[in-house]
Amino acid sequence: MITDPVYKHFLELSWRRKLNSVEEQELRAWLATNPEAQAEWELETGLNDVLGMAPDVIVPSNFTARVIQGIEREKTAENRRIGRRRIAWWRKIVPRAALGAGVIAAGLFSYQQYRLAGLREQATQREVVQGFITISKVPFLPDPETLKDFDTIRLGNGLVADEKLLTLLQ
Amino acid sequence: MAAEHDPDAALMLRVKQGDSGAFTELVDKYKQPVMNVVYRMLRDTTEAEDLAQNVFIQVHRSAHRYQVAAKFSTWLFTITRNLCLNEIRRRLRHPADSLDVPHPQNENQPWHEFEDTKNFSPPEKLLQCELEERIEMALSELPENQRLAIVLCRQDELSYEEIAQVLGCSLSATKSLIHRGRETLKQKLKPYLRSGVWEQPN
Repeated sequence: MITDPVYKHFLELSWRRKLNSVEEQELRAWLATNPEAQAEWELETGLNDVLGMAPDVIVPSNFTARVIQGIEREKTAENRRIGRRRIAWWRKIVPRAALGAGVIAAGLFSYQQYRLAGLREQATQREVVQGFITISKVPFLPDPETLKDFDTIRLGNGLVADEKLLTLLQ
Repeated sequence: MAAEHDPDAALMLRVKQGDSGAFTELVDKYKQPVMNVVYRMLRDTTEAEDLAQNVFIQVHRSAHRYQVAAKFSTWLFTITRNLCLNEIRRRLRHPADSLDVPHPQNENQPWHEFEDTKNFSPPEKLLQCELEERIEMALSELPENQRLAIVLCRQDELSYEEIAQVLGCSLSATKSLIHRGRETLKQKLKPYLRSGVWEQPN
């Protein structure tokens, strides 16, 4: 392989395109002083010509249309995938949300019952306290001996005296 | 940077904004060079058409993240190279059945038989066809990286530096690939290269 930088420069140029007239002249001048490179150069230019013979591959006339169709198909498939993902998401979320809502509702109901029980307890205590206040405002209270027969006396207040029995006892 | 003055990059930026006309323009401009590269890598017309279409579908799919970091053609041929190499590797993992497999009941008969649809053409045309076949055969027998380097070298849109970018190697490594590939081709095509005439088969 010839490694001379001048030769390499023209060689690499020739791989991409035909040399222009100035480049051809410079190369010929170099080859004149390096005749051993002539055969190699001819093979290289021969190969360039042969590679240039390889024809363009036939592109179908509907190529662009088929590319556009392929893109449309992908969009449709992607939209379907998004739709299916959304349905799957809803199917996963709705039961969990319902369960969550149920738990919250049960919690709120329990809390409400607890609060009502608390309020009822408070009302009962207020009655007791109110009774205590009422009693405490009375100037004097009868002694316990008197109060021992309180129910009997209270119930007896509604009774009528038996005159006949009282006369007999006298 | 050359990319800043690249009209194809400007078109691609319009594609990024949803301009389908710009995309069609790019496809029409590059379908031939992309098909040439893909066909010479895969050696099958039908598969080359499918894969070349996939190259542009991939371009469209990637439009939203396109940035002008290099020339559009460099980016395009990088996608082309990647898809070609993926397909070649897929074929190695799942080789197709040979058409020369003999019939299980008769070893002298091929299992797959196809109608001979050759046309009878003038001798010069036959020689030309044979030469083209030899060129294609010689190219197809090169290692894939050398083949791709030589095929890309034929693309006017790409400089050596851009070919190196597409191949993912240094500039000197790229030129070395091209040189080694060409040496092999010279050996295979020497009869024609020396005489300028392809020898007629006996």
